[in-house]
Amino acid sequence: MTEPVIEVKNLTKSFDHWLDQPHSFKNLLTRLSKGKWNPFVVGKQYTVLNDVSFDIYPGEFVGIMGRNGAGKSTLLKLISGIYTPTRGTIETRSIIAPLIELGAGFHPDLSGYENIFLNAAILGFGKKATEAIVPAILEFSELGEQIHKPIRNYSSGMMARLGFSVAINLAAPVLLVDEILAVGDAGFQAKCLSKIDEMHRSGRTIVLITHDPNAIERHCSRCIVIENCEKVYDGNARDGAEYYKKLVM
Amino acid sequence: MKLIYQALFDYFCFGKKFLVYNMVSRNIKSKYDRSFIGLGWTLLSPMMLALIYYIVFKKIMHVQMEHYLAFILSGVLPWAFFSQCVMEGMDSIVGNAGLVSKIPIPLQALTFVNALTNLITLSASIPILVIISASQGIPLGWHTLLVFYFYIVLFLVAYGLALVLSIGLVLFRDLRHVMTLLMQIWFFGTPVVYSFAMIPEQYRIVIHLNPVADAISGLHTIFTDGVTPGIKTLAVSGIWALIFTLVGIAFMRKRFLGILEKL
Repeated sequence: MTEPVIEVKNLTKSFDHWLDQPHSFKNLLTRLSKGKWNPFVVGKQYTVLNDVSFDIYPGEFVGIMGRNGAGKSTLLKLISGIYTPTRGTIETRSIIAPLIELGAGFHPDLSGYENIFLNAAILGFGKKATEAIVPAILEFSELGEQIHKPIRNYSSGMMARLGFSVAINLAAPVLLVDEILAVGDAGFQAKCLSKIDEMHRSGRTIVLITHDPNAIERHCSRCIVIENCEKVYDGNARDGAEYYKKLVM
Repeated sequence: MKLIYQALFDYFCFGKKFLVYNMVSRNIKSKYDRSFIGLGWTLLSPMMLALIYYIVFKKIMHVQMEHYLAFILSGVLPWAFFSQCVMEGMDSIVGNAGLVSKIPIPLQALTFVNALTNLITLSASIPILVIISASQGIPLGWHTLLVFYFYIVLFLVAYGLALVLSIGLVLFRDLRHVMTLLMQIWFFGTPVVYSFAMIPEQYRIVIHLNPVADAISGLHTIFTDGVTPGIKTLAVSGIWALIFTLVGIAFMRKRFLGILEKL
């Protein structure tokens, strides 16, 4: 059996309550004056993910569903290495490209073309990898001559198209897709999803986070549902979508 | 040995050349609006400041010093770089919250990029200093190249300090106000508008404890005395650069772990 590309074991993530308070010296002094010697230790923590385990194997198309605040985005940030687990481990065995936000680091004064390079660099790719995908980006984004104009003049749809094109064309074997498809017109959304499908068929592993059970049913091979900080369902996509529909009704 | 190499490799972002290049060029392009004259804007405000000091100290208070214009410029321009580097660098995590909380990116790279952008701006001050110095008849020569040494010292001190402060700012958002105040005090605690020689003998030992004092007084020596700065100046400023690099590396290693949750 092949090794999983993402291996999540007994993952727990909690946040300290003191994080809710404004972080400042003023606050620190107030706490000190109340006789708390170590103001950083509050003791109280709230858990966002509790003892979650799953493996994702190469070539899978996994949908992750859950209500607002269920911990989906936290999970994604943990997998991409932005957050560190409180307990448990996450092992990743491949380059993972998170599509958590499109067009990260885009600068309004630079042209679309310059922003391609900036964005790719921020996503962790090198010069050669970026140059290789420029034609594909130009084609997919349908920007034409506009590509040489500063992107402050772009519409939000154009910006999304450019950001998505860069992210999707970069050759990462694993793609983490958060709900980024909410932008752009319906036609473009469909195009994005079919592009993601195409990537999947060419052997990439995709993890898609969404609220939309229909999208999961249509595209995914497997589905994980997170509810109340825990994994409550892990199995085939059709049953998962049904499960989720019942859950939120 | 390998560990040291790895730490330096990460600290100076050698593995992220493409990222650093693209971000620095983004900063430069946006700051200077694609024109070289644009660069002048960034140097204009410290130069105006230098002019004000020149008028106040030389013309009104009659400070007894030769080549005071060269003196004041060679102090104020590097100081402006240093302070901007620290204050902007401090904001490199909080100011990029939207980016760093969504994309895994080595956090020191953002601070490094900021310091490098400022260093490039600062290098534009070299021709100004050379012209002013030369016009006042101060001998320039091979020793003038030491300007790069002192600029790099200032760069390293600013980078290390900004890195520590950028983490500090996540935990204490009012650090910004504290630093604004401290930088003003620091400015007058550094031989920028006065010379090292003006400091009373018994306090000179204390001034070495100021990480940028020796670097700036070294620059004064180059552009107003036209001689090679003393070995002590070179050594002390070099040691400070080393200390701040080590501190920066220590903070980079400890990291950053768990810092983004606090954003």
